Amino acid sequence: MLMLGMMACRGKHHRDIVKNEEPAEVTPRVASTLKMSDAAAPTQLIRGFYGLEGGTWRWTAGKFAVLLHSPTGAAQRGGTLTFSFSIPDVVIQKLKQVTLTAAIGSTTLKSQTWSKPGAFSYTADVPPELLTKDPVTIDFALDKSLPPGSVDQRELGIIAISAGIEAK
Amino acid sequence: MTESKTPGRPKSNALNALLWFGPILLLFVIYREGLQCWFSADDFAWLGLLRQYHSSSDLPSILFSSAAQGTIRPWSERGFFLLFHSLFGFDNLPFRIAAFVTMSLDLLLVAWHTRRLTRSAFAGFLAAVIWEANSAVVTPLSWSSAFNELLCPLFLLSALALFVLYAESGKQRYWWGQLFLFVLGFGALEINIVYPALAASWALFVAPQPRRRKLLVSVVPLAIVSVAYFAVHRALAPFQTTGPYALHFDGRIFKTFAVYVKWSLLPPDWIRFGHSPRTGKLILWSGLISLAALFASRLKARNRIVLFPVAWYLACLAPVLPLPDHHTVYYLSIPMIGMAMMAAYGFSCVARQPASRLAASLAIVAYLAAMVPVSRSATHWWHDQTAAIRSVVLGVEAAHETHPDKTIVLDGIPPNVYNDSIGQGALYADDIDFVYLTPGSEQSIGHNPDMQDPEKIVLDPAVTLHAISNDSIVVYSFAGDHLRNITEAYERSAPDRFAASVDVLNPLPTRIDVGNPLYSWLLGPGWLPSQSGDRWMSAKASVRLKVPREGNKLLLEGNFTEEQLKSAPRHLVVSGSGIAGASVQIGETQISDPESTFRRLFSLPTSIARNDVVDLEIRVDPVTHKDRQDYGVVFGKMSILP
Repeated sequence: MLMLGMMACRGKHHRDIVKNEEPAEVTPRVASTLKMSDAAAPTQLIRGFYGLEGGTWRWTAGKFAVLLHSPTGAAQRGGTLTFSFSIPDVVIQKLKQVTLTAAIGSTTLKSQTWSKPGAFSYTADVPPELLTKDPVTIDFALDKSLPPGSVDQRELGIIAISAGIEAK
Repeated sequence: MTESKTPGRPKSNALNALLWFGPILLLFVIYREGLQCWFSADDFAWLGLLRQYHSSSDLPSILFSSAAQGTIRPWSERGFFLLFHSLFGFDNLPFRIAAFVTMSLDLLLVAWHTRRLTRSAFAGFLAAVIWEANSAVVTPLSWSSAFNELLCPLFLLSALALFVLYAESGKQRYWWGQLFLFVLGFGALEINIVYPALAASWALFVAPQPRRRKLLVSVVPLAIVSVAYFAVHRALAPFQTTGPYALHFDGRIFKTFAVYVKWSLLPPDWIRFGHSPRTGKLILWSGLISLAALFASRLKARNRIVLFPVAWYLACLAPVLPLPDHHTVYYLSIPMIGMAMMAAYGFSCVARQPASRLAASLAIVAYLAAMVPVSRSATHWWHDQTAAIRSVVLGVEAAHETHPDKTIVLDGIPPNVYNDSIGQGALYADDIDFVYLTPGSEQSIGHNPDMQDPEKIVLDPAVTLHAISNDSIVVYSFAGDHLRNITEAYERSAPDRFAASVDVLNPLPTRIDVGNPLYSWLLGPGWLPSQSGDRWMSAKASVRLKVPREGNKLLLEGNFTEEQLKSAPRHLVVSGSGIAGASVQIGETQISDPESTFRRLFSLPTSIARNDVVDLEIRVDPVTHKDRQDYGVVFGKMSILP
């Protein structure tokens, strides 16, 4: 009987589950920090991002935009925008250097230039008045990108890993 | 001996089968909710053993270590949980099936022994029913940590059955078989030590006169085994001298005995479950008088068989009588086999005397009428209690699957549910780390030295505020049979909720748990990634902390590896600065072998204590170089105290 019971239950490993109450999925919660691999990423990557590759990254186009939640307190103290990405060899070989600029609405935040391949992080202070609206759309623009056909059939910019706003 | 191989067997096969298996059917009728009871309390300590198992070389230490109460039970606790957890994970049903199957075998053996004592199949049935109805077995049939109370009688009853067969046939293989089972039984429960007394009682009171001497001599090696076990066990796990498991050999033994006799006939929860005290007294006294009358009449008739079940009851109860501070009804599970056999034996003695039979029947019916409803209610209570625990543990598991990148924070967990689940390491056992309680939870759950320290699991308000505004956590509240994601509502209410204790616009804690990823925004350069709740620093690292009003002391808690300290003492220098202030040395200390885990309290210089914020810098020398990385010291916690 014991053996029968054990055999009957063996396949049940971890099948006992509790179904929690989660918020309605109709309007997914917008995250303030977004990894390209997050399940919610497709709803927050507004434009200029290609499909997920290698489970963690996405190619961008020359211009791309992401929707982020404005974290608590950011509207009072301002925030820090961080965009993690990498620049492949092929981009530097062809473009020599790239400059990334972020903007919220009509306000340009900051421009930064890279002339070597590798993993980088773009950070910019965001004034409080730009974070009063929630969620907020961040527009990114590269000064140069690889046009379709030169390396790929797509217009390619840089490799995006994550984007986020933290309250100061 | 000349007894029939099947004493008292009814002529009808169907009736015979019913008398054998009827108690097992009844077991599932009375205790069916016990099959669905989930894990609780001590179960999680045993379930956590699987995380300590890395290779087969770990097995001996895991199986044979003594528990906090000084017990060593490899089969019924450590081995049972280790095997079933590795096979079935957090599925409770196989554990419960094992308990019910073991109890079923126990019932068959109780019936077998009683049939042999009384030559009555009905008495065998009656003994099994009287035993299983007793509320003492509710806990073992509802709680996997009390499985030992079912496994131990299996060893005792089956070893004794082989002893009886040895006595009847004289075949040595039965004697060796009972010796094997007896020795194995020590891995189930310490009460197994009384087996030689049970075998001796059977030889003295049940075996025919000509064989008594030989049988008693055959018990001597068993007694030597028990004495040796006692000596070894005492050396490995000395008697406790304080706390509920401390032994007291004084007059309180008699009071404890009286309590257990009362609970044998009337469930301790009789009044709690809404029954009349007067009826309770009636049932108790009718049981006591019936047993006393049986005992007196049998002794008067010079019938010694009745002494065997009495000896069983007393021998199995004796080990718990010196525990006046720990009366637990399930300790009666094994002794009650003796009382059940005695009652069934008494009934069989008066079966042909109508008046006495009526009186005995009434007493037994009254006992069953008292026990069965309470046993059912108590099992139902266990079911409901453990269902809440299941909803928390499996709810966290589900939340973790839904939000794999976020830290789970729980709100509104009832204290009793916390105490029997998270406080007992349930989430550790389920391989889930970094789950916390919302600030303020410590006020409801209180502090119990036997439980996980609430300070380690309750989040600081400032950290909660920072984490929720940065989407690092998801907050769930307890909702009975599941958890409810309340993150959005909690985030909206957080600033108001913590306004009194935290600067909402600039939340900073006065204490940092360095290894907790939720505090990582306070860490400056020099820290390595968090590993299982701890974090290495290299030669130099910094953190930022809030200085509370009147805060003037810094407490550091960390540890070095033994290897580090054996190679050289480590020198720690702590300095600090306020915002834009000059760096000031706070103190320095040396940590030498064997103080691998250290705590140091430093006074803060006034120039730092008067600031709202301090940036601490810690330097350690020398450091360990490994794989092109410097390893200085592991932290730990840092707190600014008043």
